[in-house]
Amino acid sequence: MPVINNVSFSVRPCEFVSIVGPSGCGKSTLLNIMSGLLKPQAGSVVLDGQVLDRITPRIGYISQSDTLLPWRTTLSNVELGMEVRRIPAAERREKALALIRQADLAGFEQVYPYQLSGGMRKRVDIIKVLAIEPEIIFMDEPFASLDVFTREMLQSYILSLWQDMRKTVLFITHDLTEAIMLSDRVLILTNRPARVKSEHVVTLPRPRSLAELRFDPAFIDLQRRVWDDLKDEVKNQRA
Amino acid sequence: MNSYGNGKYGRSLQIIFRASLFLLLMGIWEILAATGLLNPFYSSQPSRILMDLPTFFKSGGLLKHTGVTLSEALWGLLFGTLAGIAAAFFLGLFDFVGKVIEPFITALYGIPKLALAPIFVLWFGLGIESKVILSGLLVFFLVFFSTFGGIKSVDRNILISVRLMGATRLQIIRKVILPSCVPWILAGVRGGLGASLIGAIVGEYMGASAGLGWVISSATSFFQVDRVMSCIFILFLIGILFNMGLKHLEKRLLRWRPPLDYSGTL
Repeated sequence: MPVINNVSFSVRPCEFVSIVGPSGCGKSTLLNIMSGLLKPQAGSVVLDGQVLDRITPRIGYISQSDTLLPWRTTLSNVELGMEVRRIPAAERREKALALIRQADLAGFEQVYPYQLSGGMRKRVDIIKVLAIEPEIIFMDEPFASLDVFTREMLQSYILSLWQDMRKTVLFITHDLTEAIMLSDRVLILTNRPARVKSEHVVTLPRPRSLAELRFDPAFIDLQRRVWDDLKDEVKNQRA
Repeated sequence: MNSYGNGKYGRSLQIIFRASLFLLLMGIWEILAATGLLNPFYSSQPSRILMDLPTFFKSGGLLKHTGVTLSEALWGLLFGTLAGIAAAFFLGLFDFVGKVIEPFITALYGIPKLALAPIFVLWFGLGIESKVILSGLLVFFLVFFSTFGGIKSVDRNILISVRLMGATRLQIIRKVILPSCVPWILAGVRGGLGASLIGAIVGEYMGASAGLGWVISSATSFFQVDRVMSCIFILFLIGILFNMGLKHLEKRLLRWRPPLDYSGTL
């Protein structure tokens, strides 16, 4: 049985799209195909009219797991991607320091990952990817392993980052609230073989504030509608 | 928190206790030999060793033989470590070659290497070469298996994330695989320190004209147990020195690891 079948959608430049589906439905497989890590048995990924079949520097990937190099300090972790791209040392340093400051991590430049909290590590993970200036960012359940408070802080962080930088974001999550709060559009996937079940446009005005959104009737209403869609899939999965 | 071990006084207290324990053991030996419970002709005695060491030094033998054994062990350690790392990377990174050759290495590992000492002397002569080769061979296997294990257990998530940043194969090896193997390499070298000395000494037993192993074997045949014990004492010091050097290196290279502290958890 194919993991995903007949999944078709497009994302506009600077759009924030979330993909939500029951666990194990193939969300990560989809993202791995789109980032060029996996080759699909059929179908294709098209970026700006060109078929994408390999890893491209235009896409940055932030995953669920901790991918900082434990033997590198914050600063040199942020510089890693630029090192790989052979950006000169001075430029690298300057840009990394600026990003660290922006992410509110000043003072932690020379510290190793084990000395940082989970939320700080995730922020380093994020700016590490921002440092190589991808046009598109894929996030695969980036906050799944964090506690609720840290997660909320990071959601706000992502929201403000996106509002400043205006990059195209494809965000995979199983957290419906998170998906609606952050996105312009939410796609619901079915169980395996996954296909796009429905699409919900989130018209909530921006800039958004997570604290206020929670009690916004429009938000609550949308959440209910999306949840109705997802509910059947989760139920079928248990059956 | 309990602070024996890492507190302000912990360190000096440790050293004091350690030195007292050593002196106590030496004292017991001394008394046993003095009262005749041990025959110093066979067991020697700390005071006799203490007197023999300056004699050994003045004759010029101490420095010469220690130098020979040290250089055999250190060259063996160096070559064995480099060859071990190189072979592990070669077999670990080229999957096909690895699968073909790895069983051979495992089979060779099964041979007691010290059994090769006589034939090495035959092949490579009575000089330093045969000992360096034996010592290097012992170190090689330890470093090889440790490093190979390290290469096979590199964090997959990190590998993928660095690949997605667009890193080339060479960059991944240099920036991810090599540094993540450092603790494994050091673990191999830790075992290799002792092994390199064993290789040098056993090689000297089999046929040599210099070195502490040679002195031990010839002094034993003349019943000069004091001289034998002097050599063993020097080997003991060398062992301590090697370990101190490695600890220093580990501290520098593994700064990035959270310090292990079991206080309160065990």
